[in-house]
Amino acid sequence: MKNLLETIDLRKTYKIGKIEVEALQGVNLRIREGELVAIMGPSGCGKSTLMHLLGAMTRPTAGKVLIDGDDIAGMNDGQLTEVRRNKIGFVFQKFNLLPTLTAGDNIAVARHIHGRGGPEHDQHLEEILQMLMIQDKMGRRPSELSGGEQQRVAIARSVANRPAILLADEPTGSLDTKNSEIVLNMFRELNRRFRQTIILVTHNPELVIYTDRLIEMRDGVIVSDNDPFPEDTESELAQPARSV
Amino acid sequence: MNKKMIIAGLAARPVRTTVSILAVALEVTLILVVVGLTSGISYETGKRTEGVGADIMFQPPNSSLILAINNSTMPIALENKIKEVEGVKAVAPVQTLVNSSSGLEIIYGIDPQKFDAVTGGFIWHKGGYFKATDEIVVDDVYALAKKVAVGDQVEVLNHKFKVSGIIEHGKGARLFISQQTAQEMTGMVNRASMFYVKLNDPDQVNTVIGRMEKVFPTYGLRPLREYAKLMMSTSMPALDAFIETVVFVAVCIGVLVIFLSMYTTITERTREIGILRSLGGSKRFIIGLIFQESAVVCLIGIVIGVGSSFLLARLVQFIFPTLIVMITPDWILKASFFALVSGVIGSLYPSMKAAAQDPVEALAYE
Repeated sequence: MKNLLETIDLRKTYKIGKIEVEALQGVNLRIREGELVAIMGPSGCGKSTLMHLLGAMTRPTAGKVLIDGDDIAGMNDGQLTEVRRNKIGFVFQKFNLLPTLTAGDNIAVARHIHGRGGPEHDQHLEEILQMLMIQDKMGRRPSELSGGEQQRVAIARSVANRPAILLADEPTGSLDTKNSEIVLNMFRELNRRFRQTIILVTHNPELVIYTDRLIEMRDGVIVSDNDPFPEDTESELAQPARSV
Repeated sequence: MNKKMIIAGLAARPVRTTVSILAVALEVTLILVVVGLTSGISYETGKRTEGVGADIMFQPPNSSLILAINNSTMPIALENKIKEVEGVKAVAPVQTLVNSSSGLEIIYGIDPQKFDAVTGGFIWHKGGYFKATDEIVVDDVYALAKKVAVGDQVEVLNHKFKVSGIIEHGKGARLFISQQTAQEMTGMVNRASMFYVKLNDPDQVNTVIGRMEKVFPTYGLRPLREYAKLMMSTSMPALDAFIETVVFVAVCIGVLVIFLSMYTTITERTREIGILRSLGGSKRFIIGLIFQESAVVCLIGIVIGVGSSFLLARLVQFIFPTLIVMITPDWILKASFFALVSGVIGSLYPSMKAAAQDPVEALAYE
């Protein structure tokens, strides 16, 4: 299986005043196409920082981050933006929908930024909306939707452009149990039906049952990884980048 | 999609959007009305001077083109010398006085017979020429503005006059008194401020001016055909500086309001900007959105400003019939341009600040 994400001795240091905080202290991981992975750890373990790096939202202080074959370490802001636009989908804890637009327009914005919109994408989007059970909610503003509905709209937005990787940061953090279950089952369905590579970042161990693989972090390093294929040593430069 | 985002963004903050639009409208209105007022006064005065019906205005050396105001410095005996110039049909001496107690009013002191010989006579609405030294003729615009009728008293230059007649406007001044009265009031006996000259053949004006220049080499000789245009195109340093100052102040208002509006907008929408960046929106995309929002505000403001200018012009003329506000197409274009420029300048810093925001920090912003 092709590696979609790879980090090699990844380090990230933040400066807060005069103090330097080493959020990541040498992280090595590999995530393959079609995997549904949970990255878990307590608050302050570096999982959000790792997510930001995997999502090309920021650059590493040292080490490599290869996203679908592209090393983001030396990229400028414009190049990082392009990687995010073409390869990454985000789902956030607080949904992060644009409040002044309808649900449909929130999804349309993502497609507009991406510059895509052919019939095959409309069909794909239609399938996603049906799967997420929100096709009748497109005319409503986020303030008119429940938390679960908003998160499903956010999921639809994140996969509307068929990104290589979907990153979800505490996707059920603002939801009740029932809606959390619905959303997590949606992630599983996306992974099973469309082979969408999904990484869930969470501190909640209950999410783990929905995933195939668990990576645990503590104090900026990975402490355990139940990788089903630990011996897979496929080179990071073996395959050209492609979308799902 | 950009259009939807822009409209949604503006509609989400209706008060701020409205205030920004009104500020741009104010900027445009300020420019158009002030420039229109100054241009209107100049043009209208020039038109009235043109409307005298004379062919040449004979003035003292170094006298002002604008309003043709000067002290009565020329001997009235010049009238006969001017008449001797070949081609001259009639000459009317005029003494100009200025009444500044209620606005700026020019009063002509005239000899009715000589004035009629040059102008072809007034068009009378009511009454007739003054028969006594304390009588005055006014034009219909003045009568409407001051609500006076024939027989009413008016106070001009601290003198009380009785209105003897009301004439059609457009013959030089709005107020006319006898030459004798003017001379008594100014103490300038047998003096004139200018002479209006009527020619046998108006098409020979340049030829006659040439002849007059030989006899009166230092005097001001101006053809009155298209006098109004000449007044408009003449550069008046003080007036140009005034207009430039008004335009500068208006543009500053526009820049500051747009800057404040866009700056508070991007601060409030930090998280939205972070969302757009996380979706892959480039810095250029963000800057473009802010500029487009600013442009929409400016365009609406321009439309309202131009409309308001015309309304205000009407209102001014209704309340002050003697004032003309001249709003011209080229100044509408200039004012619109200044408004757009102020929008661009005002949104430049906020848009660049918005684009430079770190997506991670922007998303975390509360």
